[in-house]
Parts: sequence; C-alpha cells; structure tokens
Amino acid sequence: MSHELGDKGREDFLSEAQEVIDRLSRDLLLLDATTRVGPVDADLVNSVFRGVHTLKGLCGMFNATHLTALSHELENTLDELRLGKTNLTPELLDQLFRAIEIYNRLLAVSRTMGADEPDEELEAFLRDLRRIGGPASVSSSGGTVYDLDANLLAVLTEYEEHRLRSSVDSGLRLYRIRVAFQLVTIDEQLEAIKGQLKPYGEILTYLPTGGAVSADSIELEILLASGFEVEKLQQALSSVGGTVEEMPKIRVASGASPTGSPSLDSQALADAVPSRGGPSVSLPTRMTLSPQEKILKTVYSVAKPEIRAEATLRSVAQTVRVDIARLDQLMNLVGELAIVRGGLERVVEQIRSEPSLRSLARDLGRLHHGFERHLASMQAAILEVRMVPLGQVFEKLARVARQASREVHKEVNLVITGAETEVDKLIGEELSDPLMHIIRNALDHGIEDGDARERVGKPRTGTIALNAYAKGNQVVVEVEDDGAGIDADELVRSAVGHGLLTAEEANELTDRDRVELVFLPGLSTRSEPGRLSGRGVGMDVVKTNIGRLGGVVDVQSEKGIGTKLTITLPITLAMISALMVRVGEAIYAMPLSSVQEALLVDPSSVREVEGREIATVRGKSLPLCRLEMLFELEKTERDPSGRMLVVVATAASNKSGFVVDDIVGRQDIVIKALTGPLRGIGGFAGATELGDQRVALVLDMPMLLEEAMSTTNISKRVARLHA
Amino acid sequence: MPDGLAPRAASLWRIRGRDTDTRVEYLGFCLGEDRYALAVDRTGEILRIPPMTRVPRSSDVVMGIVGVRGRVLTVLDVRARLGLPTPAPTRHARIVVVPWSENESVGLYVDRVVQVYRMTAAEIESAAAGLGRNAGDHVMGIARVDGHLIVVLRLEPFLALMGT
Repeated sequence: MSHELGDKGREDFLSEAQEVIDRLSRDLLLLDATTRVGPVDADLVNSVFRGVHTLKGLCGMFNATHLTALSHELENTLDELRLGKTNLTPELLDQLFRAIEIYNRLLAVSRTMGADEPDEELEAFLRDLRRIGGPASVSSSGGTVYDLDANLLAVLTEYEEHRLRSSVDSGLRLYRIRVAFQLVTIDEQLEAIKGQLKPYGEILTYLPTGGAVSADSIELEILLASGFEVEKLQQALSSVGGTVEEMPKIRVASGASPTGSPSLDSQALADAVPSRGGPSVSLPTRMTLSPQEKILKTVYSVAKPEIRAEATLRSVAQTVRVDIARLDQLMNLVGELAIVRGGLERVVEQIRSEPSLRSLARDLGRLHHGFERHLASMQAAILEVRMVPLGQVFEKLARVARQASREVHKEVNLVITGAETEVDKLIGEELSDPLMHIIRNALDHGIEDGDARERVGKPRTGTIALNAYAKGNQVVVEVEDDGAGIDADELVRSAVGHGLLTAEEANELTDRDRVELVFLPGLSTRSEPGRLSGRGVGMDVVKTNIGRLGGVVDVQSEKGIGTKLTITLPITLAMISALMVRVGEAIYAMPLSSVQEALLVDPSSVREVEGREIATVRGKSLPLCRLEMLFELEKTERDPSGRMLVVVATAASNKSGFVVDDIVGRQDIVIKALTGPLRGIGGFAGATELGDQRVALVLDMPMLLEEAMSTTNISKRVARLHA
Repeated sequence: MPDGLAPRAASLWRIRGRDTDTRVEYLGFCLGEDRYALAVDRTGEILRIPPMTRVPRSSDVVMGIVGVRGRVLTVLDVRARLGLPTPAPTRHARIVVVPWSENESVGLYVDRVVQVYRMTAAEIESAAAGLGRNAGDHVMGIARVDGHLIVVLRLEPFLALMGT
C-alpha cells in the first residue's frame, strides 16, 4: 500500500473499492439467478468485467499488489467469458463468488496493516481459476450472415464483434435503426431508447452516421440483434421516430481490417486499455494494435464524447463520502447543545418566577422554544445521513446462503423482503455477522436434505425468508425457515445432561422456555458437529452480539414446520428517548423502546409467590422487580401503605414492572459508553449527562428483564459455569 | 562567534547527553497521607471533584462516574486497594486524568495534588533497594525530596492492578 497518499487517500480507495466489490457481488448473484432459468445475460457478464477492470485500475494506483494480481487474472478470465471463448460453468461461477470473498478479505487486511506478504489462499485461488477458466471450444457456424458495411465492421470492438457473430449464430436478425438526437439531451434520449429496445433484443453498438440533420443534432445508427419482426420494432420506437431496417443478407465480409477509429461506446476505452493475456484465438482478421495506436485510440475515445463526460462529472460532485466518526462528532456536538438547552430551560424557569421580568421571560421562552425545535431537526438530519438500507447487508447474506447451500448440498431459496428498510450504518455493520450465523444455522440444522423433505411432503427446495420492516423507533428483522424446527426435547435432555437444569426444573419449563434453551452457551442438539455451524459460533453468541446493539432476539419453532427468529433493534444508536426515573438517591434512564407504561399499583394487589412480588393489574399478573435488589443496594424506606409507582417494561417476550420512587420525565439522551474497568459491565447500556454536571446510568432493559424473569435462574448458573 | 559561547554550548551538550542528568517532571500527589508521583507526560487534566454517580455492581476500586465536557469518565479510588486509609474528601481532593488504553481515559481520585517534582533518574532509588522485594511491578522507585518519601509509580502496571 502506498504511503504517500496518506490516510485520507487510503480510506477513499478502500471505500471506493468496497463499492465496486459490492456491485460485483450483486451482478454475480443476478447472473447466478438468471443463468439457472435462461441463457447467460451478456450485459451482466460485461458489467462484471467492467467492475473488475475498474478495480484493477484502482488497486494498481494504490500499489495493492495482491488485489491487483487478483483483478488481473479475473479480468483475463472474464474477458474470455464475454468474448465467448469460455463458457460460464457452475464451477466458474463458484470461483467468481470465491473471488468476492477474497477481495473482501484482502481489503480488510489492507485496512489494518497494508503489508503485502505472500497469500496462500490467493495463490490457490489463482491456480484454480486458471484451471477452470481455461478456453473452451466454442462452436461458430458462420453460416448465412449479413452484409455489414466494412466501415461499420471496422469500428466494432472485439467484444461487439463477438456479440454480433453469436447473435447471428443463434438465428437472430440484425437491424439498423437510425435516430436523430439533440446534442443537448443525447444522454437522456439514448438511455430512453436503450430502455425501449431492451425487451426486444440486444443493442450491439451505436455509431454516428456522419449525416448531421442540423448543427445541434446528430444522427446515430443503432445496431440491434432481435428475434422480432421489423414492424414490431417500428411500433416500439414510434414515440422516438427512428427508421428501422433489416441488414441486407449476404455472406459476411471477411476482410475487415480494424483501424483505430473511435466509437462512441465507452467500451472502446475499456477494450483499449487492458493488455489481453491468455491464448489469442480471436477472430483471424483481427489485427493487434501497436502500443501507440492503443494510446491514440484511448485518447481519442476519451476526448470525443464531451457531453457524456460532463454529465458524469456532475453526478460525482453531488455526493461526498464521509467518515462515520465525523458524524459521531457532529452528534456529540448536538448532544452538547442539548445540554446547553437544558441549562437554558432552567434559566427560563427561574426568570419566569420573577414577576418584574415577565415580558423578558416570555421572549426568552419563545427563543428557547425555537432553539429546541431547530435542535431536534438538526438531530434528525444527522441521523438521516447515517442511515443505510438493510439491502447492503442482505446482499452479503445472499452470497453466504448460496455458498453454504452448495457446501451442505441442500437446495434453498433465499427470499428477501424489505431490503429498503433503513438502519444506522453501525447497526447494519454489526448485524451482518449474527445474521450470517443464523442463516448458516438454518441451512445446517434447519433445512432438511431434499430426500427427507420429499418424504414429509415438502418441496425439495427449502426456503429461508429474510424480512425487514420498521416498527416505530425500531427495526424488525425476521429469519424464517421451513425446515425441521428445533427439537426442544433434545435441548432439554442436553441441558440436563450438562447439569444446567435438574429434571424437576426441566419439567417446570414452559414450551417457550424450552425452545429458548437454544440460546444457552454450549448446548447443541447435534452429536456430530455440523459442517457449517460447527465452526464454533453458537446462538448464544448471536444473542450476545445483538444484545450489545440494544436489540433482542426471540425464537419460535415448531417441530417439522420450521423456525422463526425475530430480531428487534433500535433504528439508531446515537440518540434515544428515555424515561428518567429515581430509585432512592439515584437517577436512571430507561430507554423508551422497552417501556410500555407507568402505573400506580395498590400494595393490596401485590402477593408474594415463591419470594417474588406479583401484582395483579387489570386482571392479569405482573411480576414486580426492585432495582435496589437487582443492584444489591440499600433498601429505601417507603410508606408500606402508599401506592407504588411501577414502570412496565418489555423486551422480547419478557415483561416486568419496575418499582421506582419517582418519574423525573422524558428526555432525549446521548448514550456514552462506560470506560476503563466498567467496560462491558452487565445491566447498564452506558451513561448520559443530565445537564447539571451530573451523569445518570442508562439501564440495559433487555438484560435486566432477563435477570428479573429468570425463574429457574438458568442464566445466572450458566454465567457462573462460564466464569 | 562571541567569546565564551562555544564552551557554554559544549557544556550544555554534555549535560543533555548524559541520561542520568536529564530531569523528568513528575506530578506528586497524596493518597491518604502518603506521597506518590507519576511522570507528567502520562497524566492529563487535573479536575476538581464534580458530582459523582455511583455504579452498582462495579468493583471496589470504581468510585463512580463523572461527566467531563461531553465524556463520561470512570473514577478510580485506588487507596483501599493499596491498603491506605480513605479519609473523607476535603476541598483539596482532585481527579487526575490518566490514559487507560489507547483511546480511553480514567480518572484517579487523589486526596491532594502536591507539586511537580523535577528529578533525574539518579535521584530515584530502585524499588528493591527502598522497599525490599515486596514492591510490585508498579513501583518504579523511591525518591526523597525535602524530607518526604515519594513513591514513583509506573502507570500501566499500576492500572493493571485495578483492572481486576
């Protein structure tokens, strides 16, 4: 990695490369899906080729030698693929997916150290790629073809010529479409026509005819391969008003010698730059360009389409990449302003109580109100910037699912809905690993193999559904499979076997409790380790990681029918609404995402059952929880006959009432992590500043609820076991 | 060149060049009645004690958390862990901010900040000589200034004592 470019340059390179790789991954998934049902989509192959080509350029510029080597070999293979010299076999597709994984790994490595030591996995991959991606014999009939204008043929790139020949080989007709374009709007017009023609065939190339209609317009000839009749095409183009004619049919002119003529297609640029490795079995008439000619061609191609270049520049200038840490800084500043606002509010209150200053108090109150409103919009605007669609995560998962399904030889469809649902960038990043483990688990333990599925009357191909949707201030992600479900009996046996439960305790578990044993560390219903999930990550880790994001996981499963995991997450980590409560001397913040309501409970409605207080509220029982007991603090003196203030909180399917002394109010808070020896302390999500120099602890409600609810104290025992 | 400059420069150079003569600054403070010191380049701000929030379930060295200009700082009271008395805070009590890890700081509660000592390595006796073998890794050595015994601490091993 080059050091002169500095950190900023390197970050830019990494994020740009990541974008290209993500796009590559998308294209490959699409390619995989389409080739299962139909012929190889030439556009997609070409798009993959262009992506790798871009990467090669990027990596070369940054001296990332491994990345460059990988891109170079891939480019060669893809070039042969798009020129029809190699066929897209499932093995080759596997290699291409493997390349994405390697790209991601190499990128991650260069992010941390940037050293270029020999990379065994890369070497192995390159060997495999050369073996699999070698040239295949591709038949070419060369039967009746069209009489193409020698000038036209001369300017076709090798790729275009290949597409032309293979189109003719597969019996498609060639059409010539002439359309006049206004120079000012040529980009939009061209895109529109491409869109209109896409359903009818493949646009092979488009070239200026030279016959200008007027000074500010240009006539282009579009070469289209299509299975449709000429009338149909004319109809399709009626709104644009071009002329369509079929190429005259004769034997192909075989002596076309290419010159360095420019083409308007940006493809010419891509073709001119790369040095083509591999065996040159290309069409015999094709001349190789000398280096000078190549440069000429490049320069010419770049210089010619001015309108296009300008349009591209404009679109680039509209977005900027921002380091997420800078947004955090902004958010912290907003947090500081919120504290200033709190102080201001107190001053307003004080002035209000002074009769002589009433009009001043009114003015100040109004200003304060305006400040508050703008602060809220500013906060919302910054949060908005941090949001990314979950689709970014889901694409990675689709790749994992595809690879994993091949490893365990199970057919599976991943059905994604709600990919447009947005979450904070950090949450999205942190979510991808847990989701990956869940999907691997579903494939390994959930989905049965094809034969077993057929025996129970299910379709051979399993389904994993990935749904995301927003719910108030939270995002819900569901992963549902139609596999064998969780064997709760086996889980209970295993838990008893590990000494986590006694037989009596096991008998007392509800069905829900039994299934939730799956989240305990070290419990596996499999005697033999699974091929995928046996890699050492269990559901307990998934649960912990999601808990760290302030989320909860819920599991539902029915034997023989399937399993559904529901993850509920806050949309953003940066700032949350909280209920500020007082217990004894201390003020605590309870995130509102977990708070359901606050109640006054009459002590006469509270009974004690097995040492636990249970209140009856609206005819239902509500277990009560006292923070001073959970936190082992001194008991505060309360009037035993007075009514109790209870905050009802829920997370996952736990519900409990927390007894508090006072509700201070609702407040938007910025959560600050606890540091030093307090990092990772259980029961607290962090701390927040109150505005009068004091800080309050933010309660980790899901965890406290869990502790309060653990009737059999399993989690405490497990914690002790693993301590 | 003015007369006398060259010999002065030479003697200056000689002083700088001899490591044991280099004076390093140490922040001196009291824990209970005893005096301790930490190299100044390892210490940050010195704060008056702001309102402190106790943290349930934390270890005995954690005194609480305080808000300092947008950050939440964990304050450690190391006195009991070192077997020292823990007098009630007076108006002299301070928090000395020190690095805990690369990007985290903690605050050390001290009963009083005394002064900055400028000492050479030669003025700090080795810990073994001063305290015998029982001195932990966290003690760099002992110094005597104006009749006071000062325990000079190494920050990282010292904090490592508090991590557990």
